Amino acid sequence: MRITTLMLATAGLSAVLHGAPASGLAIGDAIPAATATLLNVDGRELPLAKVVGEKGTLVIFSCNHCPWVKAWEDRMVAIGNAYGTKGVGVIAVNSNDPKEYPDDDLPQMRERARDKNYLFPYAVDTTSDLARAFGATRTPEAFLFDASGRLVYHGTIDDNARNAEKVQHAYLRDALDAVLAGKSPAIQETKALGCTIVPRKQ
Amino acid sequence: MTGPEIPRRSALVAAACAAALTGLACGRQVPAPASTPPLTPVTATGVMKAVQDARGDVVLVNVWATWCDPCRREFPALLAVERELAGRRFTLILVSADFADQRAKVVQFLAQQRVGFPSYLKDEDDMPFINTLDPRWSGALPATFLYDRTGRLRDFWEGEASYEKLAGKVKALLGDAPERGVEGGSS
Repeated sequence: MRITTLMLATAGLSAVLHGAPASGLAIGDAIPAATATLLNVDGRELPLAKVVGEKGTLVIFSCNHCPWVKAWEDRMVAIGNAYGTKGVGVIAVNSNDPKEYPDDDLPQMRERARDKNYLFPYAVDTTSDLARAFGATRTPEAFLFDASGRLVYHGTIDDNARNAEKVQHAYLRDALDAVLAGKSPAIQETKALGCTIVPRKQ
Repeated sequence: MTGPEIPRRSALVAAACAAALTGLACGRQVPAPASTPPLTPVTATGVMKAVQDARGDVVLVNVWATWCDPCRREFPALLAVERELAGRRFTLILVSADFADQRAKVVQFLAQQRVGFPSYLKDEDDMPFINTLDPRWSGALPATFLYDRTGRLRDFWEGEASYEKLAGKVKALLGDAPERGVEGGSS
Protein backbone atom coordinates (compact mmCIF):
# COMPACT_ATOMS: atom_id res chain seq x y z
CA MET A 1 0.00 0.00 0.00
CA ARG A 2 1.27 3.48 -0.80
CA ILE A 3 0.32 5.67 2.11
CA THR A 4 2.12 8.65 0.64
CA THR A 5 0.08 8.45 -2.53
CA LEU A 6 -3.13 8.49 -0.61
CA MET A 7 -1.98 11.37 1.55
CA LEU A 8 -1.23 13.32 -1.59
CA ALA A 9 -4.64 12.46 -2.87
CA THR A 10 -6.47 13.81 0.13
CA ALA A 11 -6.57 17.17 -1.60
CA GLY A 12 -9.27 15.59 -3.72
CA LEU A 13 -11.22 14.37 -0.73
CA SER A 14 -13.58 17.31 -0.56
CA ALA A 15 -14.52 16.68 -4.16
CA VAL A 16 -15.29 13.11 -3.27
CA LEU A 17 -17.30 14.04 -0.23
CA HIS A 18 -19.27 16.65 -2.08
CA GLY A 19 -19.75 14.67 -5.25
CA ALA A 20 -17.39 14.28 -8.17
CA PRO A 21 -17.12 17.10 -10.65
CA ALA A 22 -19.45 16.57 -13.59
CA SER A 23 -16.51 16.18 -15.90
CA GLY A 24 -15.01 13.28 -13.93
CA LEU A 25 -11.31 12.63 -13.57
CA ALA A 26 -8.90 14.17 -16.03
CA ILE A 27 -5.45 12.97 -17.03
CA GLY A 28 -3.05 14.07 -14.31
CA ASP A 29 -5.64 14.01 -11.54
CA ALA A 30 -4.82 12.19 -8.32
CA ILE A 31 -6.51 8.93 -7.52
CA PRO A 32 -9.56 9.91 -5.49
CA ALA A 33 -9.21 9.28 -1.79
CA ALA A 34 -12.57 7.62 -2.05
CA THR A 35 -14.50 6.80 1.06
CA ALA A 36 -16.73 4.40 -0.84
CA THR A 37 -17.14 1.00 0.74
CA LEU A 38 -16.07 -1.78 -1.57
CA LEU A 39 -17.09 -5.33 -0.83
CA ASN A 40 -14.96 -7.91 -2.55
CA VAL A 41 -16.37 -11.19 -3.81
CA ASP A 42 -14.46 -12.92 -1.01
CA GLY A 43 -16.88 -11.22 1.40
CA ARG A 44 -14.36 -8.77 2.83
CA GLU A 45 -14.50 -5.00 2.77
CA LEU A 46 -11.71 -3.60 0.66
CA PRO A 47 -10.83 0.10 0.85
CA LEU A 48 -9.41 1.43 -2.40
CA ALA A 49 -6.30 2.38 -0.43
CA LYS A 50 -5.47 -1.30 -0.06
CA VAL A 51 -5.52 -1.80 -3.82
CA VAL A 52 -2.96 0.88 -4.65
CA GLY A 53 0.13 -0.73 -6.14
CA GLU A 54 3.77 0.17 -5.84
CA LYS A 55 4.15 0.72 -9.58
CA GLY A 56 0.65 1.78 -10.49
CA THR A 57 -3.04 1.18 -9.93
CA LEU A 58 -5.66 -0.04 -12.37
CA VAL A 59 -9.34 0.45 -11.57
CA ILE A 60 -11.78 -1.01 -14.07
CA PHE A 61 -15.48 -0.28 -13.73
CA SER A 62 -17.09 -3.49 -14.83
CA CYS A 63 -20.14 -5.62 -14.23
CA ASN A 64 -21.67 -8.99 -15.02
CA HIS A 65 -24.55 -8.19 -17.33
CA CYS A 66 -23.02 -5.96 -20.01
CA PRO A 67 -22.39 -7.50 -23.44
CA TRP A 68 -19.41 -5.20 -23.90
CA VAL A 69 -17.84 -6.45 -20.69
CA LYS A 70 -18.46 -10.01 -21.81
CA ALA A 71 -16.83 -9.26 -25.16
CA TRP A 72 -13.72 -7.88 -23.48
CA GLU A 73 -13.73 -9.93 -20.32
CA ASP A 74 -11.15 -12.56 -21.21
CA ARG A 75 -8.70 -9.85 -22.25
CA MET A 76 -9.54 -7.76 -19.20
CA VAL A 77 -8.91 -10.69 -16.87
CA ALA A 78 -5.68 -11.62 -18.65
CA ILE A 79 -4.42 -8.06 -18.25
CA GLY A 80 -5.44 -7.85 -14.60
CA ASN A 81 -3.90 -11.21 -13.77
CA ALA A 82 -0.66 -10.43 -15.59
CA TYR A 83 0.00 -6.90 -14.39
CA GLY A 84 -1.18 -7.67 -10.87
CA THR A 85 1.98 -9.72 -10.49
CA LYS A 86 4.16 -6.83 -11.70
CA GLY A 87 3.51 -4.36 -8.95
CA VAL A 88 0.32 -2.86 -10.33
CA GLY A 89 -2.66 -2.85 -7.99
CA VAL A 90 -5.69 -4.08 -9.89
CA ILE A 91 -9.38 -4.06 -9.07
CA ALA A 92 -12.60 -4.49 -11.01
CA VAL A 93 -15.50 -2.59 -9.48
CA ASN A 94 -19.20 -3.08 -10.08
CA SER A 95 -21.14 0.11 -9.31
CA ASN A 96 -24.47 -0.94 -10.81
CA ASP A 97 -27.57 -1.12 -8.69
CA PRO A 98 -28.44 -4.83 -8.57
CA LYS A 99 -32.11 -3.86 -8.34
CA GLU A 100 -31.73 -2.73 -11.93
CA TYR A 101 -29.51 -5.62 -12.96
CA PRO A 102 -29.96 -8.74 -10.83
CA ASP A 103 -26.98 -10.34 -12.60
CA ASP A 104 -24.83 -7.68 -10.96
CA ASP A 105 -25.49 -8.85 -7.42
CA LEU A 106 -22.71 -10.24 -5.21
CA PRO A 107 -23.45 -13.99 -5.61
CA GLN A 108 -23.43 -13.70 -9.39
CA MET A 109 -20.23 -11.64 -9.25
CA ARG A 110 -18.59 -14.27 -7.05
CA GLU A 111 -19.55 -16.94 -9.55
CA ARG A 112 -18.20 -14.90 -12.45
CA ALA A 113 -14.90 -14.20 -10.73
CA ARG A 114 -14.48 -17.89 -10.05
CA ASP A 115 -15.49 -19.01 -13.54
CA LYS A 116 -13.23 -16.49 -15.26
CA ASN A 117 -10.33 -16.97 -12.83
CA TYR A 118 -10.06 -13.40 -11.58
CA LEU A 119 -6.82 -13.24 -9.60
CA PHE A 120 -7.57 -9.66 -8.55
CA PRO A 121 -10.44 -8.26 -6.49
CA TYR A 122 -13.86 -7.91 -8.08
CA ALA A 123 -15.79 -5.71 -5.70
CA VAL A 124 -19.23 -4.25 -5.19
CA ASP A 125 -19.29 -0.46 -4.96
CA THR A 126 -21.93 -0.67 -2.25
CA THR A 127 -23.06 2.95 -2.52
CA SER A 128 -21.92 3.54 -6.11
CA ASP A 129 -19.90 6.43 -4.68
CA LEU A 130 -16.68 5.19 -6.26
CA ALA A 131 -18.22 5.60 -9.71
CA ARG A 132 -19.33 9.09 -8.72
CA ALA A 133 -15.87 9.93 -7.39
CA PHE A 134 -14.26 8.81 -10.63
CA GLY A 135 -16.99 10.16 -12.91
CA ALA A 136 -17.26 6.69 -14.42
CA THR A 137 -20.23 6.35 -16.77
CA ARG A 138 -20.00 2.99 -18.47
CA THR A 139 -18.68 -0.55 -18.35
CA PRO A 140 -16.00 -1.47 -19.03
CA GLU A 141 -14.13 1.75 -18.28
CA ALA A 142 -10.49 1.67 -17.17
CA PHE A 143 -8.59 4.20 -15.07
CA LEU A 144 -4.83 3.69 -14.79
CA PHE A 145 -2.76 5.62 -12.28
CA ASP A 146 1.03 5.73 -12.25
CA ALA A 147 3.28 5.08 -9.27
CA SER A 148 2.70 8.60 -7.96
CA GLY A 149 -1.06 8.09 -8.08
CA ARG A 150 -1.77 10.34 -11.08
CA LEU A 151 -4.20 9.33 -13.79
CA VAL A 152 -2.22 8.50 -16.92
CA TYR A 153 -4.73 6.50 -18.96
CA HIS A 154 -8.51 6.50 -19.13
CA GLY A 155 -10.69 4.59 -21.50
CA THR A 156 -11.19 1.28 -23.13
CA ILE A 157 -9.32 -2.04 -23.18
CA ASP A 158 -8.42 -2.02 -26.87
CA ASP A 159 -9.91 -1.09 -30.23
CA ASN A 160 -11.88 -4.23 -31.02
CA ALA A 161 -14.38 -5.57 -28.53
CA ARG A 162 -15.68 -8.29 -30.82
CA ASN A 163 -12.50 -9.84 -32.10
CA ALA A 164 -9.29 -10.10 -30.09
CA GLU A 165 -7.39 -11.23 -33.18
CA LYS A 166 -8.20 -8.00 -35.00
CA VAL A 167 -7.01 -5.66 -32.28
CA GLN A 168 -4.71 -3.04 -33.74
CA HIS A 169 -4.25 -0.90 -30.64
CA ALA A 170 -3.98 -2.60 -27.26
CA TYR A 171 -4.47 0.70 -25.46
CA LEU A 172 -4.59 -0.53 -21.89
CA ARG A 173 -1.68 -2.98 -22.21
CA ASP A 174 0.41 -0.30 -23.90
CA ALA A 175 -0.41 2.14 -21.13
CA LEU A 176 0.47 -0.41 -18.46
CA ASP A 177 3.79 -1.17 -20.15
CA ALA A 178 4.54 2.54 -20.25
CA VAL A 179 3.75 2.91 -16.55
CA LEU A 180 6.02 -0.01 -15.68
CA ALA A 181 8.75 1.65 -17.76
CA GLY A 182 8.25 4.92 -15.90
CA LYS A 183 6.94 6.66 -19.00
CA SER A 184 3.71 8.39 -19.95
CA PRO A 185 1.47 6.34 -22.21
CA ALA A 186 1.49 7.55 -25.81
CA ILE A 187 -2.31 7.43 -25.87
CA GLN A 188 -3.96 8.56 -22.66
CA GLU A 189 -7.66 8.91 -23.52
CA THR A 190 -9.77 6.50 -25.56
CA LYS A 191 -13.47 5.85 -25.89
CA ALA A 192 -15.74 2.98 -26.73
CA LEU A 193 -19.42 2.35 -26.41
CA GLY A 194 -20.39 0.63 -23.23
CA CYS A 195 -23.23 -0.07 -20.86
CA THR A 196 -24.33 2.90 -18.81
CA ILE A 197 -23.59 2.49 -15.12
CA VAL A 198 -26.87 2.65 -13.23
CA PRO A 199 -25.85 3.69 -9.72
CA ARG A 200 -27.69 3.18 -6.51
CA LYS A 201 -29.77 6.17 -5.53
CA GLN A 202 -28.09 8.57 -3.12
CA MET B 1 -16.25 13.89 -19.66
CA THR B 2 -19.90 14.20 -18.88
CA GLY B 3 -21.18 12.55 -15.75
CA PRO B 4 -23.93 10.04 -15.89
CA GLU B 5 -27.45 11.32 -15.95
CA ILE B 6 -29.90 8.58 -15.26
CA PRO B 7 -33.31 9.99 -14.50
CA ARG B 8 -36.03 7.48 -13.72
CA ARG B 9 -39.27 7.60 -15.61
CA SER B 10 -42.20 8.58 -13.47
CA ALA B 11 -44.52 5.80 -12.43
CA LEU B 12 -47.41 7.51 -14.19
CA VAL B 13 -45.72 7.71 -17.54
CA ALA B 14 -44.26 4.27 -17.06
CA ALA B 15 -47.73 2.88 -16.69
CA ALA B 16 -49.07 4.90 -19.59
CA CYS B 17 -46.24 4.07 -21.93
CA ALA B 18 -45.49 0.51 -20.88
CA ALA B 19 -48.26 -0.59 -23.18
CA ALA B 20 -46.15 0.63 -26.10
CA LEU B 21 -44.23 -2.58 -25.76
CA THR B 22 -47.27 -4.36 -27.12
CA GLY B 23 -48.22 -1.81 -29.73
CA LEU B 24 -50.03 0.68 -27.55
CA ALA B 25 -48.21 4.00 -27.29
CA CYS B 26 -49.29 5.73 -24.11
CA GLY B 27 -52.79 4.35 -24.43
CA ARG B 28 -53.11 4.82 -28.18
CA GLN B 29 -53.19 1.85 -30.52
CA VAL B 30 -50.34 2.07 -33.00
CA PRO B 31 -50.74 0.00 -36.14
CA ALA B 32 -47.85 -2.08 -37.36
CA PRO B 33 -46.16 -0.53 -40.39
CA ALA B 34 -47.28 -1.99 -43.70
CA SER B 35 -43.71 -2.92 -44.56
CA THR B 36 -40.44 -3.09 -42.71
CA PRO B 37 -38.81 0.36 -42.83
CA PRO B 38 -35.19 0.51 -43.99
CA LEU B 39 -32.38 0.01 -41.50
CA THR B 40 -29.37 1.67 -43.10
CA PRO B 41 -25.71 1.34 -42.06
CA VAL B 42 -24.39 4.74 -41.06
CA THR B 43 -21.29 6.56 -39.88
CA ALA B 44 -21.40 9.59 -37.61
CA THR B 45 -20.87 11.76 -40.69
CA GLY B 46 -23.94 10.11 -42.19
CA VAL B 47 -25.91 10.90 -39.05
CA MET B 48 -24.81 14.53 -39.27
CA LYS B 49 -25.91 14.62 -42.91
CA ALA B 50 -29.32 13.24 -41.94
CA VAL B 51 -29.60 15.99 -39.35
CA GLN B 52 -28.72 18.64 -41.91
CA ASP B 53 -31.12 17.12 -44.44
CA ALA B 54 -33.87 17.57 -41.87
CA ARG B 55 -33.00 21.24 -41.39
CA GLY B 56 -36.17 23.17 -40.69
CA ASP B 57 -37.20 20.51 -38.19
CA VAL B 58 -36.22 20.10 -34.60
CA VAL B 59 -34.22 16.86 -34.67
CA LEU B 60 -33.65 14.36 -31.89
CA VAL B 61 -30.93 11.76 -32.49
CA ASN B 62 -31.04 8.78 -30.14
CA VAL B 63 -28.26 6.18 -30.11
CA TRP B 64 -29.46 2.94 -28.56
CA ALA B 65 -28.86 -0.80 -28.63
CA THR B 66 -30.97 -3.91 -28.15
CA TRP B 67 -28.64 -5.09 -25.35
CA CYS B 68 -28.98 -1.80 -23.48
CA ASP B 69 -31.77 -2.07 -20.92
CA PRO B 70 -32.10 1.69 -20.28
CA CYS B 71 -32.35 2.18 -24.05
CA ARG B 72 -35.14 -0.35 -24.32
CA ARG B 73 -36.98 1.23 -21.40
CA GLU B 74 -36.66 4.67 -22.96
CA PHE B 75 -37.92 3.61 -26.38
CA PRO B 76 -41.67 3.93 -25.74
CA ALA B 77 -41.22 7.48 -24.49
CA LEU B 78 -39.22 8.43 -27.58
CA LEU B 79 -41.87 7.00 -29.84
CA ALA B 80 -44.64 8.62 -27.83
CA VAL B 81 -43.03 12.01 -28.45
CA GLU B 82 -42.58 11.23 -32.14
CA ARG B 83 -46.22 10.19 -32.49
CA GLU B 84 -47.51 13.11 -30.46
CA LEU B 85 -45.63 15.54 -32.67
CA ALA B 86 -46.46 13.84 -35.97
CA GLY B 87 -47.20 16.56 -38.50
CA ARG B 88 -45.15 19.09 -36.60
CA ARG B 89 -41.63 20.08 -37.66
CA PHE B 90 -39.98 17.32 -35.67
CA THR B 91 -37.77 14.43 -36.78
CA LEU B 92 -36.65 11.51 -34.66
CA ILE B 93 -33.50 9.75 -35.86
CA LEU B 94 -32.85 6.37 -34.27
CA VAL B 95 -29.34 4.91 -34.53
CA SER B 96 -28.76 1.39 -33.27
CA ALA B 97 -25.27 0.76 -31.94
CA ASP B 98 -25.70 -2.99 -32.13
CA PHE B 99 -23.05 -5.02 -33.83
CA ALA B 100 -23.70 -5.71 -37.50
CA ASP B 101 -24.34 -9.40 -36.84
CA GLN B 102 -27.20 -8.41 -34.54
CA ARG B 103 -29.12 -6.78 -37.38
CA ALA B 104 -32.00 -9.28 -37.24
CA LYS B 105 -32.46 -8.57 -33.55
CA VAL B 106 -32.57 -4.83 -34.24
CA VAL B 107 -35.17 -5.28 -36.97
CA GLN B 108 -37.25 -7.45 -34.66
CA PHE B 109 -37.15 -4.91 -31.84
CA LEU B 110 -38.06 -2.03 -34.17
CA ALA B 111 -40.99 -4.07 -35.47
CA GLN B 112 -42.15 -4.86 -31.93
CA GLN B 113 -42.06 -1.14 -31.20
CA ARG B 114 -44.07 -0.38 -34.38
CA VAL B 115 -41.38 1.93 -35.70
CA GLY B 116 -42.75 3.05 -39.05
CA PHE B 117 -39.93 5.21 -40.34
CA PRO B 118 -36.37 4.55 -41.57
CA SER B 119 -33.62 4.22 -39.01
CA TYR B 120 -29.93 3.47 -38.86
CA LEU B 121 -27.37 0.92 -37.74
CA LYS B 122 -23.95 2.18 -36.67
CA ASP B 123 -21.24 1.12 -39.10
CA GLU B 124 -18.04 2.72 -37.84
CA ASP B 125 -15.43 2.23 -35.13
CA ASP B 126 -16.53 3.51 -31.76
CA MET B 127 -14.09 6.32 -31.16
CA PRO B 128 -14.61 8.31 -34.38
CA PHE B 129 -18.35 7.68 -34.15
CA ILE B 130 -18.49 9.01 -30.59
CA ASN B 131 -16.22 11.99 -31.07
CA THR B 132 -17.80 13.09 -34.33
CA LEU B 133 -21.26 13.19 -32.80
CA ASP B 134 -20.02 15.02 -29.71
CA PRO B 135 -16.63 14.91 -27.95
CA ARG B 136 -18.47 15.24 -24.64
CA TRP B 137 -20.08 11.84 -25.15
CA SER B 138 -18.31 9.23 -23.00
CA GLY B 139 -19.70 6.30 -24.96
CA ALA B 140 -22.45 5.42 -22.49
CA LEU B 141 -25.84 4.47 -23.93
CA PRO B 142 -28.41 5.67 -24.56
CA ALA B 143 -27.07 8.96 -25.85
CA THR B 144 -29.37 11.67 -27.13
CA PHE B 145 -28.59 14.74 -29.19
CA LEU B 146 -31.09 17.55 -29.77
CA TYR B 147 -30.73 19.91 -32.73
CA ASP B 148 -32.71 23.05 -33.44
CA ARG B 149 -34.31 23.97 -36.75
CA THR B 150 -31.03 25.36 -38.06
CA GLY B 151 -29.24 22.07 -37.47
CA ARG B 152 -27.30 23.37 -34.48
CA LEU B 153 -26.70 21.00 -31.58
CA ARG B 154 -28.57 22.48 -28.64
CA ASP B 155 -28.52 19.72 -26.05
CA PHE B 156 -26.91 16.39 -25.30
CA TRP B 157 -27.26 13.88 -22.52
CA GLU B 158 -26.37 10.33 -21.61
CA GLY B 159 -28.69 7.85 -19.97
CA GLU B 160 -32.39 7.17 -19.99
CA ALA B 161 -34.71 10.18 -20.19
CA SER B 162 -38.33 10.41 -19.19
CA TYR B 163 -41.18 11.25 -21.53
CA GLU B 164 -41.52 14.57 -19.71
CA LYS B 165 -37.91 15.46 -20.30
CA LEU B 166 -37.94 14.44 -23.96
CA ALA B 167 -41.22 16.14 -24.76
CA GLY B 168 -40.32 19.24 -22.77
CA LYS B 169 -37.01 19.78 -24.50
CA VAL B 170 -38.38 19.16 -27.98
CA LYS B 171 -41.43 21.34 -27.45
CA ALA B 172 -39.29 24.14 -26.07
CA LEU B 173 -37.31 24.18 -29.31
CA LEU B 174 -40.52 23.98 -31.32
CA GLY B 175 -41.56 27.14 -29.53
CA ASP B 176 -44.47 25.63 -27.67
CA ALA B 177 -43.52 26.60 -24.18
CA PRO B 178 -40.57 27.43 -22.01
CA GLU B 179 -38.72 24.45 -20.65
CA ARG B 180 -39.70 24.99 -17.04
CA GLY B 181 -39.76 22.09 -14.65
CA VAL B 182 -37.96 19.77 -17.02
CA GLU B 183 -34.80 18.03 -15.94
CA GLY B 184 -31.84 19.67 -17.58
CA GLY B 185 -29.34 18.13 -19.92
CA SER B 186 -25.61 18.46 -19.75
CA SER B 187 -25.28 21.46 -21.95
